[in-house]
Amino acid sequence: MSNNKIWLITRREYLTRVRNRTFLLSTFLFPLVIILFIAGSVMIATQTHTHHKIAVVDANGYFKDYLRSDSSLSFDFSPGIDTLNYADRGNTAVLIIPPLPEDNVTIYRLKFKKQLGPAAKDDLENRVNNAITDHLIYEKTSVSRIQLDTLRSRSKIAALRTFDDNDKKARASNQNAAGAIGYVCAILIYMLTFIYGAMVMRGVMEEKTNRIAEVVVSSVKPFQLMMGKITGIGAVGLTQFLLWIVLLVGLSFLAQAFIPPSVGKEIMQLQQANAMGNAGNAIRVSEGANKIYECR
Amino acid sequence: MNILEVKDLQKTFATQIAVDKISFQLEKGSIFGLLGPNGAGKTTLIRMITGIFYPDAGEILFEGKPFDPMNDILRIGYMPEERGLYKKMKIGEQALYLAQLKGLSRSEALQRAKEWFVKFEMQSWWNKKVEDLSKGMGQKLQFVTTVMHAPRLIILDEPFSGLDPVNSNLIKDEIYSLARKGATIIFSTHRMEQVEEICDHIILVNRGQKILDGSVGGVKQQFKENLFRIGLERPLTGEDLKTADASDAFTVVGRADGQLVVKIAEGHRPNDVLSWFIQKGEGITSFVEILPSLNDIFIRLVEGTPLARQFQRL
Repeated sequence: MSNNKIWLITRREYLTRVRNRTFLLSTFLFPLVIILFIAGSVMIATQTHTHHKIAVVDANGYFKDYLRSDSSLSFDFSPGIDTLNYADRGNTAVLIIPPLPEDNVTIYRLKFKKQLGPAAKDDLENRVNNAITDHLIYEKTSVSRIQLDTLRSRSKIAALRTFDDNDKKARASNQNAAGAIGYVCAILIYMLTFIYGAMVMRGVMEEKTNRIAEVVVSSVKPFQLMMGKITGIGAVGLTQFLLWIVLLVGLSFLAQAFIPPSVGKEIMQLQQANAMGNAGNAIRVSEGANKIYECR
Repeated sequence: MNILEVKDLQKTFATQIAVDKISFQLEKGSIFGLLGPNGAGKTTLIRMITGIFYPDAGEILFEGKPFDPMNDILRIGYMPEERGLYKKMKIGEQALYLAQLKGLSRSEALQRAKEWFVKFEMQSWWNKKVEDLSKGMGQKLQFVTTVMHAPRLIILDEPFSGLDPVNSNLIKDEIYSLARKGATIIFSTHRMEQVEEICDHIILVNRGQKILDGSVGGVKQQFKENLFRIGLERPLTGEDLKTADASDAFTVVGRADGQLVVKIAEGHRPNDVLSWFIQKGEGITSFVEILPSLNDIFIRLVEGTPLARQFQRL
């Protein structure tokens, strides 16, 4: 009898919510919103291009030869530029590099009028470090700058791919994708716990404000009422989650059907190139380190 | 046989005694009036009988056995004063759901719901939502959901509030009919004329204590003031009244609708009054005892009591 009552309450809580228009709308619109959000952020990331022009006040004198400018970061080594007039000359920031003794870590500073994003900041730091490495290699070894650049471009010949060896048959692992899925799932679980927890609370509030609590509690124990409510609303959450999975899988199949094979191939190539680029960076760093080691 | 027996029931909230050693018995098939001013402890008492609250002390016997909330609540129907239904739920589904919570199977609930909906002419409401109903319609639905599982004990808290006279009569007739079929009804209200009309037995609760217990007729007899109304063939003149005042048996206390209202003195009987008028040669057309209304008794007993008892300390 007791379980029967919990089942009755669970059934009512589940059906009234699943038949609700809000549930249907949120279930079917949420994947669309997620897809639009991802597409929007990718579009913004690819289309918005921020350029930073940075004035450099260099006390060492060699950064002019090694700091490389490109479309996202460019460097201004004009004579007479300083922390007071850099903005008037069209720069967004000024990089002040004091003399860098080889046996100590020295702090260099960046003053800005327009803040650099985390990616641009990392990029700047890498370029300064690379410039120092290049300068040291050039100064301490007999390698010429042309040779150094040629070696760099030729060394991009290896790319790493990882395989999951836990199963009987080793299969290619995609750690980035696994990480991303894990991250998204964690956020979803966190959000859903809050949303459905709040829904249970709203359900209790609704019964109190509708005054039906007294009628129901005169027929069932409060424990049965609460248990039925929690299981019913939990089942609604699981249903929604299941529907999202089905919808997302369905939509991704649908998207694949609509993307022309040529575009798919281009994406594959881009992914491979990206992987190669990462490998190239790793090789370049280890190569630089070796050179420095040899010098010492 | 008593369906319900309450013995020295007590319930205390933080700083207030809500129910203070109340005892009463309820005969099977009777209609019982539970009366009292606001904040007297009626709802707390009802909540203990319906298993919503546990009493701090005392005993409840249901059909001769100690009250077992798990099983006995299935044989009780409770309609609280503050009506409650799921606003967004369809009426038919709601009736089925509440009946199933009271232990009926779905098919049984469906059959009974149909019978009651036909009886109350509510068939067309089945697929409507409660939020679409008027207050009176909601009241009828609430009554149906209270009695659908054929409970042995029905507790109705202000069942007629918000109902028009036609629907009030409909519910009243159903209450009589249910009582005839053997259900016992506890009827809680402030409307004394309804209590006089419907109830067999009443108790009056004030400040958590029972201050009156008895049949409606018995209570009225208990509080009577020996007042009688006499209709005479000839209206009495001032001179006649002076003579009447000289009588030891009664005093004239007023006139109402051309009749005299007399108060019989202690130690005398109505026969003494009648003999006096007969001896005077007056023609008597009517002689009726004036009993106090329950409303008067209620006011007399409760007047002067603070409405809210929140300041009453333990």
